[in-house]
Amino acid sequence: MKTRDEIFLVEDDQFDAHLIRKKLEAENPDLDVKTFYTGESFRSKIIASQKVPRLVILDYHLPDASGLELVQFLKSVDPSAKILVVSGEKAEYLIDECIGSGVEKFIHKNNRTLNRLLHEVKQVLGIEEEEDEAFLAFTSQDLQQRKRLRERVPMSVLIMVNILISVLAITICMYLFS
Amino acid sequence: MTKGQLISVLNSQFEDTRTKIEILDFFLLTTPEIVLNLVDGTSKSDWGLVRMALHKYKNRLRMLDIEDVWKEVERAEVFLKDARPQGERVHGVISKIDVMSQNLLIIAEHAKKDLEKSAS
Repeated sequence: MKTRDEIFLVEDDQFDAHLIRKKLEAENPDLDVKTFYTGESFRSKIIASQKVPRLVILDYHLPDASGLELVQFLKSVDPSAKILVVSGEKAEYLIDECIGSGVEKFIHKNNRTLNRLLHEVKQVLGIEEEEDEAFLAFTSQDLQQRKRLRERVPMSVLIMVNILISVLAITICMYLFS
Repeated sequence: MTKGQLISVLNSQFEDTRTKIEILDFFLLTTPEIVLNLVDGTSKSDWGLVRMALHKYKNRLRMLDIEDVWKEVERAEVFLKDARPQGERVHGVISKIDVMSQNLLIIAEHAKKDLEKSAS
């Protein structure tokens, strides 16, 4: 029997924890999401088992610990631990600190978080996803990046490419119907 | 926000009907706590409390894709930004959010009933 991929979710807000767990498990039955509402209960579990699950999802602000403290703790147990941090916090220095400490991704809590998180979890665990899901998981940052990329390509080049495609299509049609 | 919109939000995020009902249950249990916070803010005319309650309300909803409720909360936040502790504006925001929470609760209750019917 195939064992389910174990994920630990550390989140003090029960509503958020419920949404995240249900979303991940509903979309992927092979995932087993265990929830911890405090940093201490999570720390105790890791110390007792002396092993880190395949992936840990951390809320940055917990009543008894900061996400960064838990990241450092996890990395001291297993430097290869895979961690995603989820937070309502947008301060850049926090994001830099987390990424600098070896966190895979820092995800903002908003109305796109659940899809984004599902995408990132699949990426980290190497689970294949449909193209549509990958697109849904784009954030505004991704979209801005695309926009910037588009701006770098001169409009004249885009027009030329469009004309070439049209000419090619007309030629093929003429050939087929002649 | 209509019942249909709420159900469609849940449908877009979750497949299993039991999960959707569980979420609505959780929502129905936790939202009155936020409404109480707002009432508490009203009686004490405490601006800090109102802001805290509004923040809590926003946090409660932030991961659900309920666009029009979000817009209202954001508008209330802007409105509250310059409000004085006992000013009219604070009370305006309180009653607005209070009505919004109560409406959302009623919608959530109806949505739950509909989902239960479709599940049985």
